Amino acid sequence: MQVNPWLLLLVPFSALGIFAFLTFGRPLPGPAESLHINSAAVSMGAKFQWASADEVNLPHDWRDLSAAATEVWYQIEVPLQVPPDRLWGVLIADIEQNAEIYLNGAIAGGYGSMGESPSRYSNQALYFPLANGLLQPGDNVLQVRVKSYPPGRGYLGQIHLGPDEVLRPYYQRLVFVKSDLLWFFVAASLGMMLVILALAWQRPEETLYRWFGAQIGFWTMSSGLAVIVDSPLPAHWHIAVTTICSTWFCATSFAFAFRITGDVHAGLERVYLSCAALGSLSIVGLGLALPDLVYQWAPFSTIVQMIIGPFVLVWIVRSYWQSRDPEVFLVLYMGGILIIFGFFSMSESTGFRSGVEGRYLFYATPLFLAAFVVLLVRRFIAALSEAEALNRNLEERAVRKNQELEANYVRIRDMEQQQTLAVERERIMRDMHDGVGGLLVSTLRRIAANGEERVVDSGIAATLDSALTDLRLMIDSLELGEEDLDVALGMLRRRLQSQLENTGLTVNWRVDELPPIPSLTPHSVLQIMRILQEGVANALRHADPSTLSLRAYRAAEGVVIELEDDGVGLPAQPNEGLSEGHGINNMRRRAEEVGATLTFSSTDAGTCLKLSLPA
Amino acid sequence: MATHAGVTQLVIVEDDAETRQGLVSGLSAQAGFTVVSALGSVAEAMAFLQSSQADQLDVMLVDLGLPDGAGQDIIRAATSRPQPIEVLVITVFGDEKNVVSAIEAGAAGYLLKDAEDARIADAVNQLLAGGSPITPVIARHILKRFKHEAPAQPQADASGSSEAADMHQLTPREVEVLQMVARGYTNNEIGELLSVSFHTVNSHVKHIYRKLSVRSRSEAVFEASQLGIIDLHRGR
Repeated sequence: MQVNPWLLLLVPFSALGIFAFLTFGRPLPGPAESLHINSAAVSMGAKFQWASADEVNLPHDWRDLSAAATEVWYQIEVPLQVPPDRLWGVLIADIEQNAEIYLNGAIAGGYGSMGESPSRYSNQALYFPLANGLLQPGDNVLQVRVKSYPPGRGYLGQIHLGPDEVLRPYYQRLVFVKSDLLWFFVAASLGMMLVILALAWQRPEETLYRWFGAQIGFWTMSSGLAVIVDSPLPAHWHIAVTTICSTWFCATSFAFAFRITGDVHAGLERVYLSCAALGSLSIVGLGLALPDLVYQWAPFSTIVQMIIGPFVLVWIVRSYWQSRDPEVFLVLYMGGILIIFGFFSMSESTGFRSGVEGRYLFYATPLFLAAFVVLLVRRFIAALSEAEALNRNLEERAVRKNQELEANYVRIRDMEQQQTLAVERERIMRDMHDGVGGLLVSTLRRIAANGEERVVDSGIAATLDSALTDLRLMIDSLELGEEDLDVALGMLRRRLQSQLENTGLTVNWRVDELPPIPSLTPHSVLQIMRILQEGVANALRHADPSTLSLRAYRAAEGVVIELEDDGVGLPAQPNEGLSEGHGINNMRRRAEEVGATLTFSSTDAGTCLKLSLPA
Repeated sequence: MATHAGVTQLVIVEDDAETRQGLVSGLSAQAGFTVVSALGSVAEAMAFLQSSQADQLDVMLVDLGLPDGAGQDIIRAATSRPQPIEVLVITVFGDEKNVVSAIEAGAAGYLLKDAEDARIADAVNQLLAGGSPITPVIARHILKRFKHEAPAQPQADASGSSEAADMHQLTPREVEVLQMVARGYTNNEIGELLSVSFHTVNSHVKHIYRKLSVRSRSEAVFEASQLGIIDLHRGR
């Protein structure tokens, strides 16, 4: 089987995706040359209270504290022999959802809102530079106030205390990985969505572009909501919209996967689309009626989709089994990995897994989506060039057909001309039969019938007879062409036969097989026959021969026809004295007309007429 | 061919009264000829062929261009009778198209209308003696017609079993005869050049005419079956 080279994209893309999954989502090792704070006293509520405080390890997830916690205080004692002589800072490597710090009872730093819907620094780092003189020699008390919504989902990651020049670059690296990179992915997803929607707009009949565009759209939306710090929405609506987006991301992924394999399972599609619609509606309903329950119930909408996911996958496996289409394999491979990542991500959002472990999905998914974008763009271009090739082919065929048509037209026109000519000839023949020919014949018959008592000079009968003969020669010549000189001679003999026989002349006939003479036309055949006819007439009239010989043979220059008699010869001086009466000038003119050479040689033992026709 | 009571019985079909009269009187004057009837149309000729008189007939002279139809129909009717009648076409010009179509219809040859009466009588006698007049143009036409097929093997000529197949091909000798006719040689000259008798040449020509007629008939059948006019396989 030939492997589609574009499928090789799968290797780098999935490697990058898995790499991102395994590295960026996980907590990074702490910076060197700083104090790593690994434990703290924790207290739930609006104020830190020693009485209820427990000692916990960092990072600390609220799942171990209380499902109702929305505000938690941490207190850490930092003993310092020598206070720092330069700028220091506090770095919280990971937080859900926002925090501010207090040093020795006074507020030392904070970001954004700490109200009912706190700013969302989810899974991000916070850095608080400490002004000179805030840290005292001896014990310092560092308090971290953490707020989070929904209840029970907050956590505090590792805390590092150290010089600003050590912590700041580390912090910037964390910002790059945990915020900038994700924003870049959101922007990239948006771009990919626009590209795909452009393709969908260009090819409305191929629904897979639309589904994939929607899929990227929902992904862009949900990942954007995940990294935005200050959401324009109240906290419960933020959760509601995020969940609706991820629900539809799943549903549109399934639809796209079905379409790219070209094997849609209609029943399954009805199930996940109606589940997604029902889920979305119920989430909106909850958001309107019971906002506090949104965070608990909304995730089920996505869970339902994740449960349907494996069924879709099984269907695609079946489809692959039948088609062995590499593209279907790509869908399987990518889809399978995405579903695993999805379960992973969901286990965090539903509280089964600590958020501290990271948000792998946001790093991996865009890369997988990008692989599909490349695949689809490639598909689009392939379809385009195929259409172009088809067009070109069509044009070529049209041109060819046109040429054929033209050739046919020319041929048909020629045939029509031939046909017209034949019809015309037939008409003339009919006319001659019924008209001139018939008249001549019946006149001749009448003269013959009158017999002895005829009053007319017999010369008239001879004239009529030669008129008829001439007519016959003309008609014969009409049928003759380049290969028919011998036949023309044969016909000439037939036509002159009665004339020759009546004179009691001996005829020596020798016509060899003659080569075709391309220049011969009915007209030139007629001219040649008239020359010979005239020659025969001259011999009969003037030479009184006993033998007449006709020879036609192939010669170096073409064909030679010789007409020879054994009569008295031409009466005058050779070469110049041939008089007009012998019709010789006429014969020469005819010979010139057909490009032949006519020579006479005459002795008192006879005359020889020699006609040379070039081949 | 046997003649009836030693007299050759003739019918002339010719629409031009002058010519017809000339032919009748001319041929009647020839010894051994009786012009049984002189007709002027296809209908009259067909009616005559239906009658018992036709059984006594030896030769018909038929003009092709008749006022009520084609002489070829008369030729077909005359030559396909249980006792075929020999037909000679009488024509003004002896042009290829007319003569060939007449021969294809079954005619044994043609005569020029203005030929002298004695010559016409000669031709009829020759015909009855087994000869067939032929001209260079017609010889060339037949050669072209059969050109695309290889000449029959000489030994096949002798065996009667393959005669039907041979009817679609010319033998090498027949081709030779036709080529010489086309070049203007007379049957006598051909006989001399090929060292055979004049009669042998005549019978070659007659045989060639039969082949042409058979061929044109089978071609017509082929064309008709191609066009769906007749079904060759029905009723088998």
